[in-house]
Amino acid sequence: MTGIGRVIVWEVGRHLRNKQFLIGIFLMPVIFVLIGGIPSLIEYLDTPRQEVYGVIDQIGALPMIETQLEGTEVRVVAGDDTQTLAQAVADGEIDGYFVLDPAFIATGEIQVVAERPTRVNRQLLTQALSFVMQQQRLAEAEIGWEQLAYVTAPARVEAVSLSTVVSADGENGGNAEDAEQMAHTVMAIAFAGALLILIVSSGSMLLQSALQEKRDRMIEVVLSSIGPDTLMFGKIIGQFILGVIQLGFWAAVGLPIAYFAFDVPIGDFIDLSLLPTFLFFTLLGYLFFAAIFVGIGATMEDIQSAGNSQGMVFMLPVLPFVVVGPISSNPDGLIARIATLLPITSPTVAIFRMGFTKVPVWELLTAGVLLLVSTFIVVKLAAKLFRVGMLMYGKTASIGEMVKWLRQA
Amino acid sequence: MAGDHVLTVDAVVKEYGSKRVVDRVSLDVKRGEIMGFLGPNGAGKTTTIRMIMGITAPDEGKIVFHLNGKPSSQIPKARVGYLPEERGLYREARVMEILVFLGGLKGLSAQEARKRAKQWLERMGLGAYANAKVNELSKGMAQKVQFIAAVMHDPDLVVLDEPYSGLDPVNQDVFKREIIALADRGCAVLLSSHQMNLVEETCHRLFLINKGKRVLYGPIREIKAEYGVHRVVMVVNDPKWRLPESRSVESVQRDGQRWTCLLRPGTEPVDFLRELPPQSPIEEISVARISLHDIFVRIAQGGEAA
Repeated sequence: MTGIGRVIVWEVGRHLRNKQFLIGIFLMPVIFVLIGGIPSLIEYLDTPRQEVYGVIDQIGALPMIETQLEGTEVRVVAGDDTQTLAQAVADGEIDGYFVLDPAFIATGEIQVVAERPTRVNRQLLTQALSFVMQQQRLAEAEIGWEQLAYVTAPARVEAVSLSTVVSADGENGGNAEDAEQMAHTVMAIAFAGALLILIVSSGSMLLQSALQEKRDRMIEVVLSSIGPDTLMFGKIIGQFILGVIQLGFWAAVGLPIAYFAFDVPIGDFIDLSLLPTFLFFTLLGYLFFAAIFVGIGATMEDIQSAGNSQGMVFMLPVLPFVVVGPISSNPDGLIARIATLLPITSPTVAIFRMGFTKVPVWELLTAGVLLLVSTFIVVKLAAKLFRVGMLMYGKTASIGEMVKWLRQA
Repeated sequence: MAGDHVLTVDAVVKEYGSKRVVDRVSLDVKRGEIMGFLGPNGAGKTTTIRMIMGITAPDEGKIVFHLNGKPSSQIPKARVGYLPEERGLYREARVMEILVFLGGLKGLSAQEARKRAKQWLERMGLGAYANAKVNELSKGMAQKVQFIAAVMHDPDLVVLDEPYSGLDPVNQDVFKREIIALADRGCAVLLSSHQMNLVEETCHRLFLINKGKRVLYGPIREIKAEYGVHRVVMVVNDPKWRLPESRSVESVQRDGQRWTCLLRPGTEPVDFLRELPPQSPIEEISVARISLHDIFVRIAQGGEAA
C-alpha cells in the first residue's frame, strides 16, 4: 500500500473507532428531525385560545355566522339581552358580545363590546359578518345565493408546464414531463443538500484532523516518512470517504423508512442521466473546500485562536444559502447564472439549479472549467500553506505571514 | 566502527527572511557511528535536522545519502528513522495502532509492523501497554513508544533530537543502551542532546554548532584532548597561603580551603605542579581534563572552544 493509502486507511479507521464520530452519525439525523420538527411541535402545542362571543340576534342570521366561523378559533352563542351578556363578559365567561339588528345591515357598522377590545379577533369577525351583511343585502335586492357565489368566486391560478399544453400525447405525455421535472427537482435538492453536509461536516473534521496533527506533535514524525502533499491528500480523501459513509448510512436508514413508512416514491426521484454532472460538481466542490479548510487549518494553533479572517473562510460553503431563494423562484435569472459560474457557489448552485430548469450546456461547461481551474489553484496554494503551517507551533499565522509563505514556499 | 559514510551534509545554508539560521554547515555520519550534534538553544540544530530529514529544503548546499549503494540527494525515508524534538503521539489512539500506522508509513506490512512493535514493546518493558491508549501512558512510557516508532523499521540512519529530555536516570540508561545497540548493529546515529554526560558516554564523534556555524567537529577524545584544558583542584589547610603568579594558569577560583585552577591550553599539569613552592601546605590535589559540559558551556557563553 502506498503512503497515501495508509493515511486514508488511518484517517478512516481511527474515526470509525472513535465514539464521538459514531455517536455523531446517529445523533445528526435526530438533530435534523428536532430542528425541523420543533417549530411544528410548538405550533401544535400552542393551539390558539377559543374566543366566545354572545350574539343578540334580531335578524335570524346566527346560524349563518356559526357556519362561517366553523373550524376557527371564534365561536358565537345566542344571548337574551345586553345586561346578561355584559355580566357574562365581566365574569370572564365570554369574550364579548354584539347585537345583530337591521341597522347593522343598513350601515354595516357594528360594535363588539369586550373587556379587552384589543384582543377581539376582528379579522374573523369581519369576514363572517361581512358575509352575513352581503347575504342580507342581496336578499333585499332579490339576488339568490347561487348568483352571489358565481359573482364573488375568486380566480383560481394554476401553473402548468409548456409540455402539458403542446404534448402530442396529450395529458399523459405532459404528466410524464412533469414527473421528470419533479424527479430532477427532488434529486437536485437532495444532492445539493448532501454536498453541503459533506463539505461542512467533512470540512470541519479535516480542520480538526490538521489541528490534531499539530496538537499531538505528530507532524514531524509523519513528514519524516511521507511528503506533506501525500499527507494532505490522504486526509482529504479519508475525510471524503468518512463523509460518504455518513451520508450512506443516513440514506440506508432514511430511504427505506421514507419508502415503506411514508409511501415516498423514491424510485421516481432518481434520474441517472443527471448523475455524472452531479458527481462532477460534488467531487470538485468537495475538493475545492476541503483544500481551503485543510490549508487554513494548518495555519492555526487551535480552533479558538482562529482570527476573524480564518473564521470567515468556514462560512464560505454556506454562501449558496443566500441565493437559494432567488434561484428557486427565478432559476434562469442573473443571480442564478452568476452563482452557477462562481467557483465558490457553483458546486451547490449548479446542482440545485438543474433541478428547476434546463441549464444551458455552455453554462455548465464554463462553470465546470472554472471550478476545475480554481480547484487546481486552491489545492496548490493549500499545499504550500500546509507545508509551512504544519511545522509552526505555538501561534496562529497572520494573513501577512500566510502571504509570505505562499510567496516563499 | 566502519568507515563508510551514510550521510553527508555539504555546506548547507538556511535563511528565514534576512536571518541566516544555518551557515555553511558540513558534516558526515558513518555506518555504526553515533555522531553527537550539539549546540545551545537556537543554534540551528533543529533546522539542520529538519533539512536532513527532508522536512524543509536547504537554500544552499546539499545533503547526500549513501544508503542504496549509490549517493542520492533524495532522502530514502523508509531507511531513515526520526525522533523529533517536538514530538508526541495521537492522544486518543492505542499504542499498537500508532506503531502499526507509523511502521506502515515506513513500508512495513501491517503484520510485520505488529510483530516488530510487539517485540520492541516487550524489550522496552511496555509489553502490557500494547493496547493502552496513549493518554494512559506516563511521559517516559510515551517517549519509549516514540523511540520504538523511530527504530522499529530497522533503519540505516536514525536522527534523534533530544532523546533523553524529560527522562529519569533509569530510563536515560535504557535509551543509552538502546542507542549504543543500534550503532553496534551498523546503524548510523545522529544524536542531538543537552545531556553532556550522556553524549560523552554514547557518542564517537561530535559536531558543535553555535549561531548557525560549526564550532567543533571531530572525535570526542580528540576534541577533549585539544580543547579540554586541565583543571587542578587543591585543598590547602593554610588560609594565608597564596597561589604564586603563574603563566600556566588561566583562571583561579577559591572556595574556603578549596582552590580550583584552570590551566591554559597546552599547559601540561606537571609544569604547573613544578611552579608550586615546595613548602606549599597542600593536603589534597587532583588533576582532570574539563568535561564536555564545560567545553559546551564556554562556547555557548560566547567564548572560544578552549
